[in-house]
Amino acid sequence: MSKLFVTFGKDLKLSINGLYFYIEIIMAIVFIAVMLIAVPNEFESNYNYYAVIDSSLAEINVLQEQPENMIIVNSREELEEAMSNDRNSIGVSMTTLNNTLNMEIILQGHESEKLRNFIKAEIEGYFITQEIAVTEHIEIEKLQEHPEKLSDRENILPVYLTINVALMGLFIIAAYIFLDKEEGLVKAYAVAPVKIWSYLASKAMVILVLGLFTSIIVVFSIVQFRVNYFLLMLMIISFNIFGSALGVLITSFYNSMIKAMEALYAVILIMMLGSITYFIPSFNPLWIRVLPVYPMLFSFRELLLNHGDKGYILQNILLFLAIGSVLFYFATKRFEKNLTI
Amino acid sequence: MVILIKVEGLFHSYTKEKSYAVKDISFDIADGEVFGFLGPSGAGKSTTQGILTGILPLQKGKASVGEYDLKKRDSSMFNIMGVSFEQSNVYGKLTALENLEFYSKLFDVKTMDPMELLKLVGLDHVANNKANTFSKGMKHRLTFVRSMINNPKIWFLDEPTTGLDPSIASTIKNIIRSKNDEGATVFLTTHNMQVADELCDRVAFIIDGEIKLIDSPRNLKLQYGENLVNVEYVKNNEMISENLSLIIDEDKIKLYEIINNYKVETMHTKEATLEEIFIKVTGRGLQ
Repeated sequence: MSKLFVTFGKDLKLSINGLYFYIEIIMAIVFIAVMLIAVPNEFESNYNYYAVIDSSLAEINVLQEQPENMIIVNSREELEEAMSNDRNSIGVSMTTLNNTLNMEIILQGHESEKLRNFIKAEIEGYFITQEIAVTEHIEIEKLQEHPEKLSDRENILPVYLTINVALMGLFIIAAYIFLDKEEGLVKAYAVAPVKIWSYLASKAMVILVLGLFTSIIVVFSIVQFRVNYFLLMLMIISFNIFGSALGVLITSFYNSMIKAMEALYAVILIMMLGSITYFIPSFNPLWIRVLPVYPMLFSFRELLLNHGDKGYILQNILLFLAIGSVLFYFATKRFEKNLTI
Repeated sequence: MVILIKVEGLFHSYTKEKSYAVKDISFDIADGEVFGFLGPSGAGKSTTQGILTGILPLQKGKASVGEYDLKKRDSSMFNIMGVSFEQSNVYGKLTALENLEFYSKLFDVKTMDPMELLKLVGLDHVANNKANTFSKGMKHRLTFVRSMINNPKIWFLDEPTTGLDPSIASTIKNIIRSKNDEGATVFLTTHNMQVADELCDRVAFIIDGEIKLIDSPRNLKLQYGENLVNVEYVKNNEMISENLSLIIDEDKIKLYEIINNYKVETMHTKEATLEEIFIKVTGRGLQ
């Protein structure tokens, strides 16, 4: 174990003397600057309205003019399903009872008081005609008891963290290994009484340290003390081990940087498909949900929420630790045979 | 006689057995011996050394180094082994001293003082300079001393004097001799016959992956040399140069007369060089 830390110390020193270390830090700083300066906490709201109108009102022209972002549905169930699939939407249910026009506004639950008032006023404008004498009764119902939505700025964080922690490791560890191979340094290391796994683990540890450092400064700059940093670190460690182990395993099949990069690029692109669902929640087929990026993104999202699902986070930490360890084992076995060739 | 390196029926292919870089080679190296592995580029020297140092896998045949069977990789083997590479492979972003200090921490046995090692090859004055500022020769010296940091019992040297100026090359040869005197067994891979002649107890000629012969340089010279003496002497104010056989009686008498009657300016035995013998045996040059 002491040889692992000796090797890690050397690799860290080499990294600090290298360019990539600073590129990664500069990228983190640029990301923070863009997020804090250029990206507003909330982009301008552009809600879709789902409306269900009671059949008794069919003959009355309750809707003065149907706006473009309003979709009329047939039932309350249909409305709730549509809203669940479209988190950026608001529902309106119009019924009559004892000559009273009931207007029920259904919100996702994360809307601010200010926004609720705005929505209420806007909907009233759409529906209430001047000609009909009605007694107005408006109710607001939330779809979830503890609903939360990340701000637009925070919503980008899981994407940055997943790329920074898991996906970059794939490329960087491959680059480190091929650079060492090219300069004959792997051979020099291989003729010392050390194990191949310590060589690979040392590289992964350097990437992990860098990932921890940059991720924590980015998260702190954007959400300060609003997240559990212990859980964040566990997630970074777990996802990083997975990413590096996958990178090492893929690298072990190739003898040139170019060929390995082609394969790594393809793997990263496929994995990134998992982010589609993150931005379009209604599109979540099984094949997307099994891609590693999907649980990573949603774990980071849960971490950033005030009432995030810790069970889901811990489950994914353990899952990626286990898969990462298995991948690392196989990568080491392969490299024991071909690292120096 | 204790055998430290044993190789039997060794084959190695880089092309999935379509062709072999090393074909059915066998040899033993005794404890304390300096064994030269000589041949032109691409002959199979580095492949053989690669297998013996665990860098290349043992595909076919048997090989052992010390008590270690090379079929099973055991990293502790490297505690008794030192390997110097033909291509320098040091960390350019670390200083010479940091390179050696890092390497010394990887061993489970007592290691030599890095500064002492740098002094040995004249790099102590640049100990704190980064290796990427070094010339090719300096990097080569650093690679060389790194290989002896663990006082190796078995020392693999690949072209240890290539690219070095004569004075540094002489220092390197003296270090090899001195380590050998202390008991190190040396496996020397080179295409420099002069170095092999000076250092080796036995040499193997390898060409196209096959060993053509193994013997001591002295035996080879006796077997393949022509036993001539070149003498330059002054006769009637004129410098004369003659090659005379030490076997033919007529030449022996003539040599005796020259020594007795004329002023001899120079006289050299004309042994065959290892290079000449190599060409005679293999029909090929060394470049």
